[in-house]
Order: sequence, then structure tokens, then C-alpha cells
Amino acid sequence: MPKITRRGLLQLGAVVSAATLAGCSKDDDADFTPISEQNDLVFDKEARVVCSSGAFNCGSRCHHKVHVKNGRLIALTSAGDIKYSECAALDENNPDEFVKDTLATMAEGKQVQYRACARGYTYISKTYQPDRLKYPLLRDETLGLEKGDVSAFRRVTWDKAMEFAVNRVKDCFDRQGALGYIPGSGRQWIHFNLMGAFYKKFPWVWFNNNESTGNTDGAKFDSIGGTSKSNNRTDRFNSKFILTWGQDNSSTTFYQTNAYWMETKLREAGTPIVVISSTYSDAAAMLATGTDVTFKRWLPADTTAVLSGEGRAVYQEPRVDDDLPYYEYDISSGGATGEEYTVKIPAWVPCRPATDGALMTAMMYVLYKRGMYDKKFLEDQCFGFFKNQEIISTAPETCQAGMPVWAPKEGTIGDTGDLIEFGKPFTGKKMVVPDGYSFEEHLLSLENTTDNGGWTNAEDGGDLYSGVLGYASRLTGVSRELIEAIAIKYFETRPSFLEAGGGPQRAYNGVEWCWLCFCFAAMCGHTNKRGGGPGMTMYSTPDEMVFNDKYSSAWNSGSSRVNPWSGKTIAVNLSAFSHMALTGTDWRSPEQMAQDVEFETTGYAAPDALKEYGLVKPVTDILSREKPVELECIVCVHANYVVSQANSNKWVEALKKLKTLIVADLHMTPTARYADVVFPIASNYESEFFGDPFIWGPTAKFYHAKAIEVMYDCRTEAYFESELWSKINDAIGVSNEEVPPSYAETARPSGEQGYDTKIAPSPYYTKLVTSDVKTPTWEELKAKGFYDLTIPTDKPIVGMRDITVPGSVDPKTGEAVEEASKVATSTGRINFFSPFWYLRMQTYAEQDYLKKTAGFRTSTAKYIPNREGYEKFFRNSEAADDYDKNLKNFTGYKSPVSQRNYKLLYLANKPRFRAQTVLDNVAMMKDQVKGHGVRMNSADAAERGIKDGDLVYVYNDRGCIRVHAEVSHRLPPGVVSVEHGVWYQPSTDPDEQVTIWMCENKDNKTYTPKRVPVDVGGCANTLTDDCFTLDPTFCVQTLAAQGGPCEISKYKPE
Amino acid sequence: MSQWGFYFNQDRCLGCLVCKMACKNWNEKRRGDAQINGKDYIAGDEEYKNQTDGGKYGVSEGSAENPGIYMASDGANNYGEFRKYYMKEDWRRVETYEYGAVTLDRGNVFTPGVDRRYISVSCNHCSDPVCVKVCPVGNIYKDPDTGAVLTVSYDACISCGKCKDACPWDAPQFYDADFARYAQDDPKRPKMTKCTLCRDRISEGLKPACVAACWNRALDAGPIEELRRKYGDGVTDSLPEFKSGDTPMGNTGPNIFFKAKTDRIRK
Repeated sequence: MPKITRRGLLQLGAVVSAATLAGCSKDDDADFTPISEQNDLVFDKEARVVCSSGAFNCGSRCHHKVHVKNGRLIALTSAGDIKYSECAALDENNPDEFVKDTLATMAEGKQVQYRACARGYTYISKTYQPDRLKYPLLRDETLGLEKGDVSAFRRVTWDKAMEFAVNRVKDCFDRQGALGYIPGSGRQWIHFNLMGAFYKKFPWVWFNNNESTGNTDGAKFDSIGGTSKSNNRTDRFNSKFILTWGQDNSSTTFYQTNAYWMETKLREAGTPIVVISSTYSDAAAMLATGTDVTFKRWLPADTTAVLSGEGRAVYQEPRVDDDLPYYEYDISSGGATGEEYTVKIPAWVPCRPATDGALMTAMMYVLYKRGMYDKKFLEDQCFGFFKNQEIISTAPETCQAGMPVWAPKEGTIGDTGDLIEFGKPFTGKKMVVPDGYSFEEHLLSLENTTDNGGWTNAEDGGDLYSGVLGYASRLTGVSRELIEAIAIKYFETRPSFLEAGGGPQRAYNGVEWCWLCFCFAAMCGHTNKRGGGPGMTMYSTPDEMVFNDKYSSAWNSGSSRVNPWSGKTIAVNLSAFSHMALTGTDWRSPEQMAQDVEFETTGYAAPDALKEYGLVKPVTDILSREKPVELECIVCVHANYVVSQANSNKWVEALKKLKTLIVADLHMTPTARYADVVFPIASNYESEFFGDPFIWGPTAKFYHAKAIEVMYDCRTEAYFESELWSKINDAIGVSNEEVPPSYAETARPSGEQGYDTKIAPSPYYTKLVTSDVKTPTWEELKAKGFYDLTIPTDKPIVGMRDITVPGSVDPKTGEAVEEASKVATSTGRINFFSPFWYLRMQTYAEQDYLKKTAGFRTSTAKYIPNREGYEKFFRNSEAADDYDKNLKNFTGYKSPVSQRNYKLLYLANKPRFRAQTVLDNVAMMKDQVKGHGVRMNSADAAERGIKDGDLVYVYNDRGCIRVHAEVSHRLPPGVVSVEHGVWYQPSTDPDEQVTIWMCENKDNKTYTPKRVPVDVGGCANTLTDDCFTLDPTFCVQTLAAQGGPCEISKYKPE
Repeated sequence: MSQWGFYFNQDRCLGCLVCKMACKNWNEKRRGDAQINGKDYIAGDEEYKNQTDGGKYGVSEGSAENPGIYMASDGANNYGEFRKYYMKEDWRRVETYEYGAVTLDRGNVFTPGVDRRYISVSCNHCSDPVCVKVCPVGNIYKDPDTGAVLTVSYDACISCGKCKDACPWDAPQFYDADFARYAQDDPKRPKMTKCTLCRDRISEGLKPACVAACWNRALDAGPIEELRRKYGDGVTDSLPEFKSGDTPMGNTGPNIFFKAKTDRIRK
């Protein structure tokens, strides 16, 4: 077809347009005939299509089709890109198939196409954007430029960069003799795999816990156990009510897009869904339905009858298709009298950030007072709900999944309990819940009107029940009526699925919230039921229950089982890490730290090699001499501490102080700029690997083709890792072992952990789901791109099923086991009261430095106030007795450090348009979200004279970011949100400086005012507290990113 | 001719932008500045061969790195530079509508009375397309096979903007919205581009890129009568949002119909 030139067309223009105008009508197609057809609308059949998948830390993987031509990536489509004629019913695009019941098809266990989210569609742009790291860079130290100045980097060869890195690592190892440990550290899986072989020979400084799921992992420890498992994804088809709490499957990471699609189908089929969230998320706006519940109003007179202690559980025989008994309740005749009452529960229930635990506690209080709890399950499978409960511990004697629960102190549990030796398992010991430590006593203590711990206030309608709910409602923002209604709905609907997510968990009090989630599900008896689950969905159905692949399961649960190579360490909480780098302490006394190293109270077992070399004792001796812990070198592979960790300004100081920072990455991140040497890594399109989703019930595996050649002077991850490993080994000569499999290696279909092992279904799956499995060959997988093990709804994997069912199947062997399996806790049960924590807290009491805060953490599951939480917005004390009075005089949080008042609570929710901190540099993505801003309610904006789109300063004691205001009703009044993952960018304008207060002192108390640049990028963690935790190895295992105070102004503070 | 059109299920759309992003991916080579801001920054030659010097953004060994390349560099945010290399035109647009309020009420309790809805639209390939009427150079036409509204030639457009002004749906797009500031003879003067209904894809029996990508199945496309039969009752030709004046329906015979968001239970 001849190409029409502009000139030629213009000559024709007058005629054409006249004809067009005259003839442009519906009933005369002929006049639409063009003078020439658009010439580029022919399908390009020369492009090759290869299979790929997501590659970054979103936790999920999906099926991508990458179109390649002339060695170039030209387009990306996804699983839905198939011909109309080939669409199955699940697709909903084929008119002939459309009539089929897609819900029924899903119920067959079909996981549904793994379609990409918006992040995936930026990968090509990310690969080709000019800011790729193109060659190794070495900081020229002779220039005398400050660390962080990118102009100090010089392009060097790989050999030169490698030589520099190896020498610096060797310097670090050489100090082991003098220090007793290696003053080195790092973070993320690749680092662990890379350095682990060395570290397991020596003590080093472990950057403990997990930014994403840390508090879930922390809460699991001695509550539901490190081996806790949630139900598989399609099991939600068995749920009759879904209570989604602090979770948005459509936005956050960890959940493949098809989870939301399944829930959409459930919504359309009539399953009621309620979303409790501090933000009006898309789950709240689009997925939630709201529901209603009818019950009898609580009357104070009923109290005695209900608390007679019998409960009203009625045992029901197991169903034929499910050997788990149900307990049924007749709530209409028991707990309450009076008139029937219907409450409409709205789709979205807004709750103040980091008060979620209080809301859940209030719900559990409602159920307890009404006698709505699964008495038999609480007695047989749990510990600590009932006053003075007495048991013999059935704790596993050996470490399970890297989480031994060993006594952190010698002592007894209850006056008549057996003596438990320090450092030994609790197995076989008699334990009695000490007076005042049971969960029921805790719930009743909320009614205490005199004690500071009580919630009741005489102004709240006269009875204790209303009083407790009154306090909870003022604190959380959820009305008394709704607290009661949601609790009853969750209890009485069987089964109910509590889909509790990662949002509320990323708070200072997140561990306790997660613990309460386990307890809430257990109290209602949903823990081990199909359609239910143990309460948190932030961790997975372990791979060994689906695939027979031990390597991917090693990463399944974040910090708790993070890798097979991790060594014995001086474990430092990640929120304390910048403080450690700056001061050599993490708020523990040297004695406590030494004891934690020696007795492995971090939950990480010391490798035998370490004990064999006799190195544990020397390191504890050295630590107990009160010398600060030194940190000299960090190896940082695909990590971005300045953005992903708490308190960005403090991390910048820490990285500047560090002698050596070795970075391997794809882009010059805000962390990489502080490096001494930078290695450029090839993108995900430049090498072949096996795609493993690693969170939340991965039942599919993906193939990831090498689509294009390695670009620039980059090298693949596998090359970088093996090269650095072997060169370090040559230099320090510690190992004659085989090279350990790197992260990249384990993700390749070769070797012992090769394809056949990875793709095979587990014995558990073949026994309990189906043995009729035909796995694809490697060639078949390459062609199809993914392989899915379906789990029909009538044969769900119920994660906690085997705690109650004798004769269950051992996931590892597929063989029946004689007894019900043990929960990996100190009691062998789900703990409402934790013997481990009880003893651990006694060690606090012996520490002078902790006495002031002792009692802040808890050995009974309960809500604790956030460190700078809403309770403190009325006054600066922890007591709550004059809460009401202060409500009338809301002043906001007055910082004792800066003396400033902050009237807003902020959230840092996970973004839809970034994978954690990845993609924030990608302009194509940034363009779509129309810049990055702070979301705030219009009432708060009006109060501050702020209009939508205004450039505003968001600040607190830790820092100040400058972003655009997004004024809407996505957030309730008093709450603002800044999405996580935006890159920290210090302003270079000398006027854009602010005062912040930073603790850089070993006394852990003195805050020094400092002038720092305004972060004009808008990183949420510029505001995040690097908290002072009571127990840095356990508490706040993730970031305290939710519920902190801040203020917003059009004008720069001060 | 079998006129094609779109179905949009507002009850399922959650504003995830996948439709828009998939469109930009598929139509990358059709963006208005594809020839102006090409791929030369990656490779010096047309074959896009692998090379190691980083193209025009690279430096030689031993030389100082150019800090201006990096997003994280001091003050030298290269966002503008990066924007050159992908599709700026929004052939598909996703709008957000918010109603009501969440308020703080007596007892320090929130009352959630807010609702959010999204609308995703591209070109509706109207039966009576006003863009065709107003184009002074006759550069817009209706595809006889599908009824898709297409442009004849990129080069032929004189960037007068009349189609953009006339279209009630904002379908005609320019890579720089401020296209009028470019001189007529400036080779960078943006030309109009628009949704092609993925004419290349549907001729192969494939779905348009946006439809294939939508993971909550809120979008569909096909011969409009067939689509209407498929979705049957409960659909509408308009949405309440359009009455706000933001996106008037116009009288152009748009080939799109909708399912409105159902009311969720609220207080």
C-alpha cells in the first residue's frame, strides 16, 4: 500500500473533507471508505513470543508473554492473551463458553489464568530505561567527595571491581581473630546464600527479621508455632463469610491477581465480604459487600447466666467428606435476651491505624461475654484461654523449621508447674497458667474501672459491657454497635475466613495484633476448618504440602526459615540496625546480647560447625566486656535499605559511616549511591530461570526464558555470586566445601535441586488431593510457561487440620502418622498465654536498663498501645483513665523530644504501582500514578488550608518529605497515607533543610537536633521510627510504618 | 460490516490501570514520538545489537560516571529524559469518581459514607464519529470491516486539534498535550494518534490488548450486537458519572455499553 505523504494529502484535503462531511452518516458505509488505510495495522508475525514471569520481590509470580524481535523486547502481554476461540469459561471472553458457570469451574480448583498486574507491564521500559547500571563503578576515594556523591564513581572493569570487593571482605574477615566475630553483614536472600557458607563458620552480625512479614513471623513464635500453615487459596470457596482486615489483594504484593478475581466471583455469587481497614482501599470500595446480622441485644442482667462457664458448644459428628468436627451454637437462645436487633455492617469499616488489636480484643470480649467460643477446641488444642488451665507440654523436642522454643530462663509456669531448665525444651513439663495471666482474666480486666489497664468508663451507658466497647469505639473509630455485630457475624457464620493481611502488622504493636488474629480464629473454632484458617494469611501453605521443593519453601515465611545457609550470629533487629551501625548497640545490655547469642534465643539454631570450632563462647565473652559491636562492611545485593528500612535519614548517616558498602543491583538506588563499589546485574530478561512464587500457597511454577542477550557490561546474578564466592574463598581460604548453590542457581532447572524435584507434587498432595498428576517435561513447561497443581474445593489443604486429626499425613513422607501433629510451640498447642514469653519477660525484670519499660510487652495475647499511638494524642502518659476528658481537648501527639504537636496519624501502605521499592525509578510507571502524594481527608486539608494538588510538607521528629496533597475521602479524618517504596531524594536546595531529632548516642536516650535536607522524593520511611524495642531480637520484627504521628503543612516546618 | 465495540463492567473495575498499561505496551511502536525519541539511547545501531558502552548515556573506562542519569542523584532528576522512551498518549483512560464522605462523628467514631467508582474508556469507535467530520485533511476514517475509527497516516495529520476538541470521549491523543506550541514545520510537532481497536490483533482472532490484560474481567470487546446478546440484561448505555459533565456521552453513537457498579450496603 503506498504511503500517503502529508503534502499529497493536503492537496487532496479540501475534496476529502468536503466528501467526508457530506457523507458522514450511519447508513452509508461507502462514504467512510478511506483514501488509504492506516499502514501499520498489520500483525507482526516476525516477533518471537517467549514465556516469562514477574521477577521482583512482589511475592507473586504470573505468566508473561514477551514478544521479541531482532533481539529486542517489543511488547509484553500476559496469560489472558489468547484467541477468542480458545478462551475457556474462566476467561469470560468467549461468547460461546460464557454461559458456563465460571464459579463452578473455579471450584474445581482451577487457579485461573495468572494475569499480570500493572507492574509487569513496565518491565520492558525498566529494562531499557537509560538509568540502568551499565558497568562496574568504583568510588574514587582520592577525590575527597562525601559518600553519596555519585560523581565520585568511575567506570572500571569487572576484574578491578571484584578485586576491590574481595580485598574489603578479606579485611573484614581478618578482624575476626581480634573481635571474635566478623564485623560484616547484609540483608536479603541472595546475600544469605552468597555469604552464608562463610558466615556459618564464624559469628557475624545478623540483620535479623523481615521488613514485610516480620511481625507475623514474630507472632507465630510460641503462639501458633513456626510451622503454622494457612489454608490453600481455593479453600475460600468454602467460606460463608470473609472478613478482610488490613488487606487489599488488588494492590499489595504477595497475592496473585487471580485471588482478587476469585473473590470477585464469590462476591457476585453472594458471599458477604466486609473490609476493616484504615484506608478506603479498592478491596473496601469494589470487593466488599457489607452484610447484616441479627442478634439479641446485650442486657447487663444476662451476665451471670452466660458466664456460668459451660459455653454452649454442641458437638456435631464430622461430615463424611471432612473429618473435622464442627461445634454448632444456638446464639438465639443463649447469651442474651431482649429484642432482636439487626445491624447493617457496611462494606468498609474504617479503623484508626495501629488500633486494630484493640478492635479485635473488643470483639473477643463481646464473644466471651456472650459465651460464644469453641470451648472444646480451646481446652484441647489451646493453652491459656481459661484461668489456671493445667497441661503437660507436648512441645516438639527438636527444632522445627529453624524455630526451637527453648526456655530462655530457668523457672516454672505457675506455682505447681514443673521446673524448666534454661536452654532446654519445655517438653513433658507440667504448666499451669499463673493467676492473672489467662486470656479470660485479661478480657474481664478490661472492665476494671480503677486500674489503668481497664477500659471501662462510668459515662458509657452504665454497664461494664457497654463501657468496654465505649472505650474501644472511641479509640478505634468503630462504633460499639459494629464491634458487636462483626464479632457475632464472624463467630456465628460457619465457616468464616479471617483474611488478615500485612497492613496492621507493620506497626510497633504488630506482633501483638498478629497474635490476637491467631487467637480470634482459635476462639471461634475456625482455625482448622475448611473455609476458615488460622487467622493470618501473611504466610503460606508450605510448599512441601503442594510441591516437593525444599528450596523455595526455605523462603516461604520470611525470617523464620529464611535459608539453609544462615549462620550463627549476633542477631540485631532490622529496626535497630542503623543504630547498631552508628553506635555499636541495639538497646540490649551486653550481657543480654551475649546470652542471646549463646543460648540461641533468637530462634536461630547455631550451626554445629560454630560449636565445633568453639566460637560461641569467645564471642559471648567479648560481647559481655561491653565493647560496642563493630560493623565494617555490608554486602547489599538487590536491596535498598535507605528506602525499605525505618528512618531514612538515620540510614543515610549509617551508610556514610560504614567503611565498605558493596552493592549489586540493576539501578542506582538511593542506597547504591552510598556504595564504594557497584556491580551491574543483568535484568530478568537476560537469563533463564525457574519462577517460584514464594508467598501464600504457591500452587504453580513458572518458566522464565532468556529473551535477550545480556546488555552493556552487566553480568548475570549467577555469575556475580559464584565469582565473588570463589574469589573470597581463594582469598580467605576457609572452605574446601563445594560452592553453595546461589539464589540464582537454586532457581535454575539443574543439579540436585533440579527440575524434576521442583516440579513434582508432594507426597502430601498426592495422598490428600490427587495422585493423578502428570507433570510437564522441561520442554513442555518452556512452551506453556507455567504449571499449575489444582486443588479442588472439596479437597482443600486445610493448613492446621493435622493438629486435631490423628492419622493425618506427614507432609514430608506422605505417610499417616499415629498421633495428631504437635504445634511447634512451648506447649504443643496454640498459646493464648506463652510460657516462653513469661520466662523471657522475667529476664527483662532483672535488667536495669529495661526496668523502666518492663511490662510493655506481654506474655498473654493482648492489645498494646502503639509507641506513639492514638492514646497519646490526648496526653503524654500511657494511662487511659482520663481518656474521655481528654477527648474534649484533643491536642495531638506532643513529642517529648521536639515539643512539637502532631495531630495526624500516618500509614505507609504497600503500593500497587511498585514492587516494594522496585520500579519507583521507572518513569512509565510514575507517569500513570500522576506523581506521588500524601492522601488526606478533606476535613484535615481544609483545616490546614490545603487544596488538592498543593505541594505540602509532611513531617515529624524523624524527617520531612515534600509531596503533593491528594485530598479525598480515601482516608478517614485524622489519618493520612504515604505509599511505601518511593525513593528517598534529598533536596539540594540549601533552603530546603529542616531540623530533625536523631538518637546517635550509645545511651540510647539522647536525641540530637540535626539539619537534614527535605526528602523531595517522598519516601514514607523518612517518617518511620527506628523504634526502641524492649527486645530487639523479637519485638517489632518488621517496620513501625503504621500509626505514627505526623503533621502536614503548606509551609516548611520552623 | 460488523461494528465492534466495548463492554465495561464498572462493578468489577478497580482502577488498576492494567488495560492502559497493556495498551501502551502493545502500541509502543505507534506512539507519536516513536521516530523522534527512538531507542538509540540503548544501542547505536538499528539492529539493537548488544553493546557495552551504554550508547549516548555511557562513559568510557576510567571516566567519571554521569550522575545526571540517575533518579537518585542530587537535583538531577532525569524523569523528563526517561519520558522520551515510552508511549505518553493515553489511548485508554481510567477515571476515578468519588462520592460522599467519611466523617468523624459523635463519640469519636467514623461514619463511612463514601463510594468510589472507576471508568475505563478508550475510543468507542462511534457509529457517527465527529472526529471524522471535523478533520480538515480527511485523515480519519472508519474501518469497513470492524467499524474501528482509524487514522490514515501519521504523517498526514496537521495537528490542528479539531478532532480532540470535538470528541466527547477524549479519544484523540497527542504525545505532548501542548502540541500547539510546536511550529507547523517542527518535525517534533505531535500528531494525533488514537486507539486502533488493536486492529492488528483482532484480525488474528486475538482480543484487544486491554481486554486480554484486564484481570478482573471488567472489559470485553467484540461485534457490538454479539456483545449485547452475551451480556443480556442489567446493562446500560450510560453511567451516572457521565452526567457530571466530565465525560458527556455526546451524540456520536458510541459503541460501548456498561454495567454500573451495584450499591454496596452502607450506613
